[in-house]
Amino acid sequence: MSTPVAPDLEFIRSLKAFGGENLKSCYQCATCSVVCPISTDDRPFPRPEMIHAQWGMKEKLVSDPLVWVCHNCRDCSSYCPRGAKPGELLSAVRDYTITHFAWPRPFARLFNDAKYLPLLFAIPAVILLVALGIEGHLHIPEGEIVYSKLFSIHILEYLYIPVSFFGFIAGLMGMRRYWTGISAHRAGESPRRTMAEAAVLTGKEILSHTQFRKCSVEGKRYYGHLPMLYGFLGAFATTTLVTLYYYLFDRLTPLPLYDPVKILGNVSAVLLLYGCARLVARRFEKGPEERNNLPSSYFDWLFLGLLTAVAVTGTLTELTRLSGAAGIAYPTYFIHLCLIFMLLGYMPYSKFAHLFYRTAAMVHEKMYAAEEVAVVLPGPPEEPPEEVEEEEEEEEAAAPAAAGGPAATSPLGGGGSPLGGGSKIGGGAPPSMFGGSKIGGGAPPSSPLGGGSKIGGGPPPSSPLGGGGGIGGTPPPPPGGGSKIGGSPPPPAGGSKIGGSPPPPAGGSTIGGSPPPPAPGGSKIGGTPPPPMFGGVPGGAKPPAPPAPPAEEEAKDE
Amino acid sequence: MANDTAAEPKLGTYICTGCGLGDALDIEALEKIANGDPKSSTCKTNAFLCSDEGVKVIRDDIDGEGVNRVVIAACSGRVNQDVFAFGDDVVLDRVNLREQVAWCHTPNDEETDALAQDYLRMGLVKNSKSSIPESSVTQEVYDTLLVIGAGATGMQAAIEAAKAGHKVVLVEKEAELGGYLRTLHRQLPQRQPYAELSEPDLARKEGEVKAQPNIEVMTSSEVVKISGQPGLFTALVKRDGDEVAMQVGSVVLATGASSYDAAKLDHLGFGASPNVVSSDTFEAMAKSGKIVRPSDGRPATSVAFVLCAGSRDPDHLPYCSSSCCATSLKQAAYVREADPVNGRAFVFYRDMRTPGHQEYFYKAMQEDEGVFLTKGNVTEVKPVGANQVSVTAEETLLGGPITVEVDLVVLATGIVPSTLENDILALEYRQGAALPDLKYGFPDSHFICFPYETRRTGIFAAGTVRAPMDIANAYIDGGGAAMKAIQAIEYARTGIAALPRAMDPTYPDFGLDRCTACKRCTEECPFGTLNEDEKGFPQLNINRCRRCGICMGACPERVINFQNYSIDGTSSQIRAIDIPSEDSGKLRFLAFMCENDAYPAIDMAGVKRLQYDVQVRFVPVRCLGAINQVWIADSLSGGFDGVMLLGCKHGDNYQCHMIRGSELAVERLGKIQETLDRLGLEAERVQYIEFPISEYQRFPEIVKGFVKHINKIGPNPFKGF
Ligand code: HEM
Ligand code: SF4
Ligand code: SF4
Ligand code: SF4
Ligand code: SF4
Repeated sequence: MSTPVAPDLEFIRSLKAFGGENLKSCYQCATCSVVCPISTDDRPFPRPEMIHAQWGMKEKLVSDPLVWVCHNCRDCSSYCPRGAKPGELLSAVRDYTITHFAWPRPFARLFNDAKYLPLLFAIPAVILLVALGIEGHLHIPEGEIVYSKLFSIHILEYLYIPVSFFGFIAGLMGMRRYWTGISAHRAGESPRRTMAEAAVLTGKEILSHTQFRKCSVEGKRYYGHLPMLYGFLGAFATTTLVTLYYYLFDRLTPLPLYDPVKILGNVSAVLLLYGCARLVARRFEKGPEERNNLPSSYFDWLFLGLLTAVAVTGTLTELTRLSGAAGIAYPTYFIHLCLIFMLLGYMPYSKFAHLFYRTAAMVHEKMYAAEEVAVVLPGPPEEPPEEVEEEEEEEEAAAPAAAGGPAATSPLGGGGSPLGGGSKIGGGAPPSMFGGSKIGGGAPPSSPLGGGSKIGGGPPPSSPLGGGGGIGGTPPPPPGGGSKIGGSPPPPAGGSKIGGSPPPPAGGSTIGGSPPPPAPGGSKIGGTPPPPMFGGVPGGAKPPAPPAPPAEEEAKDE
Repeated sequence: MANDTAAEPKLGTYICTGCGLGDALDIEALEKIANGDPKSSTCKTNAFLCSDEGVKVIRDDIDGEGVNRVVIAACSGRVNQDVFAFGDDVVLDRVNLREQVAWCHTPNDEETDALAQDYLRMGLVKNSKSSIPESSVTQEVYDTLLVIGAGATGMQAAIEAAKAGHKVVLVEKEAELGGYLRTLHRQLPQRQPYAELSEPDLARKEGEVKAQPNIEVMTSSEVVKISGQPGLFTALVKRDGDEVAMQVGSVVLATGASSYDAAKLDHLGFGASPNVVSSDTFEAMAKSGKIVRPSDGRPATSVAFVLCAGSRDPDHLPYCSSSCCATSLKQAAYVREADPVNGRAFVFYRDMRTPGHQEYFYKAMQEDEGVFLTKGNVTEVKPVGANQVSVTAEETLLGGPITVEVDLVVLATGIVPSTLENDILALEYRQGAALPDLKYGFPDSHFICFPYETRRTGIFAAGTVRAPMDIANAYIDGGGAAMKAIQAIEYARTGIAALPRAMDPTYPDFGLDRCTACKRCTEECPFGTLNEDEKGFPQLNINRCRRCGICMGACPERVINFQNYSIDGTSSQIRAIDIPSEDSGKLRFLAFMCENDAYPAIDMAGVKRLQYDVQVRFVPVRCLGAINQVWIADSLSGGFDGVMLLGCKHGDNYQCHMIRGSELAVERLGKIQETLDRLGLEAERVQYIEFPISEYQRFPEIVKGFVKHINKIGPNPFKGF
């Protein structure tokens, strides 16, 4: 049966407006599908999505089951030889989907344009002012700063429980529409798992961020999202506990600093702040090439900014209270409350809705996916190989390299060509071939030296020459860093723009770098040893930092 | 026509001992041969003959001693041609002792020396049988070029030739200049960044033509007859019922192509709905500013383009028409230009072939949000209601069959050369009025080596009549063909051959007194050189002749000879080869090899120091078609054990420089083998071996195989007679 196609030009324009400007440049080479960690042989992704977007096939894309499994790691974008930016396109599809499935739909339009922002702020502000008027609290309270002097806990309950409920229910409505869409997409397939089983697996994955860890170009976001998620959950738990304190023990805020709930609250705040700071910082980070930068639309900023503002104003609320400056403390608190209202109440219309859609997509995927795509690469080493401080430094060193960007500059280099990043060629240590990675070998997760970075293992950061490379960077991790796309060898460490510079006898490979001697490098594409066929051709490693163990990261924050 | 007044022959033989020759060969024995018969008046050896001093030795002999024949026994005649150049008054022969003797055979070996000695003897004999050709120029040539067709190619050819100082007559059958250019709404981008369509070039080119005083434009005119030969053509042009005769030196055929008949494309829906049109019709719609559905005249906002409509289809045009991909993209731009908000252009291609700068345009069009491109095989085009058409394509990039409903379907019809069904030139040639085609009606002569060259010397095809191409390439073609046409006039002026034996001053000499008017030469000449008089005797049009020698190979009476390449000359060379007695156990093979490909290939084998059987003697020929059967008969009766004919590929995608030489050789071989059978000689003693230049590495093996085969049959029983 032939599919009738009637391109929706408006849809294409919307996708462009949401950040997918280059969607039309795709020429279907499938390089993206080779590098994408969630693509499989029988279900390439996101190449088909690109042509669906080009042909304005809205219905197909808004109910595409994989679009929300994509973690926007942007590996695809940095390898796309045409600069079509598939990662950005998928982001745009997600943003569009949120608007498309939002309930009630017309309301969602207010979130696509900055000009409505004052209105969005005014809604909670007016409501809260009205509440204050009703309570007769339209002035800065006297004496010790106690926020319940401004809003009683009842008022807050009457207001925020329904608002959260609204946000949540409306979010679920969108989620349901999406679920129906993807189910239709997969009509005829029979599930491999029950929904409950899939939900448990999904929960585990979300809490451990396994999928996030597979990102390489956007690898650092993992360090932002994880603390932020736990910080958010902690803050949510704190609020709930405070309410319970009140009803069960009749205890009112402010709580003393040694109280366990207070401690939980403060730790959460720090995590949230830290997480937001990293995510915001990434959005400002600029690499030497345009493709290294994370494009940010208003829609991106709306949610991230809101969350950050909530975290910041929350912290300021506490600090100004402790400082005793009532004239600042109460207004700050007021603003904080407005922002929380926006965050929770507008959940289904902002990017916050990703929580619903992503959960739905992940559960669905685990129910149906023929192949387990969740556990593909070895995770970060169990033992932290370096001090945390050093880890930070490494990232610094790697940054320009990461930014140097693969591909575009050279047809032979990294991802630019089908010979480069694009091809599923290259081996790894044979035994691990079947173990870890999809294509190349991977160091078994237990290896103390194995598999840190997904792209490009290389010499230790101390190397005077290391770390500069654009395509064939020679970035940091400890010897044996598992390389996804060609690692370059430790000793001589030339940070070349194209291709890692291998020690003479080994010969760099177009795709694979040459072997980091001590431990088998986990290689997805290329890696160890280079296929002789490609020996000596420039290419090789793409840089960024190796994910350091999350435990260490958190430890530092505490 | 040999030069009777030439001075007494005085031969100088020069043997080089450099490049390892002195160490490998018995030089004294060679000197002895040089002083034998034919006797050299002087024989010198030199350790470095191609050095200034070496060449001076020869020069001094020519200037001081009156030496007028020179045999150089040294390196291959293909190298050092600029060094050993002694002018037109000296008969020069080169004996290849280096690439074909010393470098590929065991040094200081009896058989290697025998080979060198045979070659020297052959060289000396050949030299003694050659003469200096008398000039073939009989009258002043005409300088004017005739350019037929005033489209992009023709106008460009006329402009370039005029700029080079030649008079041009530009003949156009329509009332106005422009051809295909005149039909265009817009033209593909011509400037960086090749993203924007440009206005058609028509006005600009027309202006350039009219500004050239050297160009005489004849519109509404047609060529009705061309006779004569390069430098001396007479063309009859008909205008308004009058016939004008004009004398021109060469001809550029730039009559372009027409579109493939869309009526034959009913499988793509043509005829099923008025809303299925050809790209020409669509171009005309765009030019008139009305991109509409013919069914109801409403604007066509969605348009599907079906590419390769007829092209690359064995049932229609088996070739790629080369420009329709880009043309369709251009027309997709019209759709978008007409309605930037809702205009939709669907392009179904088989492969997007946008060579050169067109690729940039393709990229630019790809960016347009209203242009939808996919690879796919269009399987069905059918009307939907009165005004819509649906197009279904399989194997698309979207993952499966898809269907779109559109207002208009445009079939990107391919192109057919104007020469396919029309002789156009009306040549008064014995072999017919038309230009012979290479394939599919395109009158090219050789697929890669000689662009613009047709099989009629002095007549050049350019633009889409020669091969499918876009306008940018048509301009290049026009300019290129004009230059070739000027060159042809110059060759005729000096009486030398055109490609591939460019500059050769020799020519076939017909001993008509012994000719029986069997017409073989007039039929077989690949270049239509020979006409026939009323009695059927060949008439040589010397400037058409490419000096291939195929007529010489054809002639049963052996009356056709060149001044340095004759029946007797080659027979004598064959006889000069020493045939060892049967008891010696040594065999002798003769290999006729084509000078164009086989000779350089064998040189290459020598340069690479490949070693092969030393019992083979090479006789270079102008073309395998230039082997007269008498030579084969001579060699077998003279005791050779086997004969090889080494030549190029023939048939489809032939590589024969003389078009039909190797094909004719094979054909003639069939006949000679019958004769051999009758003589009781095994037919396999004579074999044609296809030997492309790229396969020189295989040469030792080829020889080995042949020798093995003959060994099985046994030595030639005629030895010693
Ligand atoms: C259901 C569990 C969740 C999953 C699977 C998930 C996954 C993701 C993913 C893959 C991204 C990157 C998307 C992109 O850049 O386009 C992201 C971004 C983000 N997530 Fe989550 N998330 C979840 C829950 C949360 C929660 C509870 C919060 C916090 C309140 C949160 C806050 C954020 C923020 C602020 C960003 C934006 C980062 C940026 O713009 O750079 N997420 N999330
Ligand atoms: S890598 Fe780029 S051009 Fe290639 S299929 Fe993916 S998006 Fe398209
Ligand atoms: S951003 Fe990452 S996960 Fe998403 S499609 Fe691209 S490569 Fe795949
Ligand atoms: S130019 Fe394009 S449409 Fe035309 S025949 Fe060639 S491939 Fe087909
Ligand atoms: S030499 Fe060749 S071109 Fe000339 S007349 Fe003979 S066959 Fe024709």
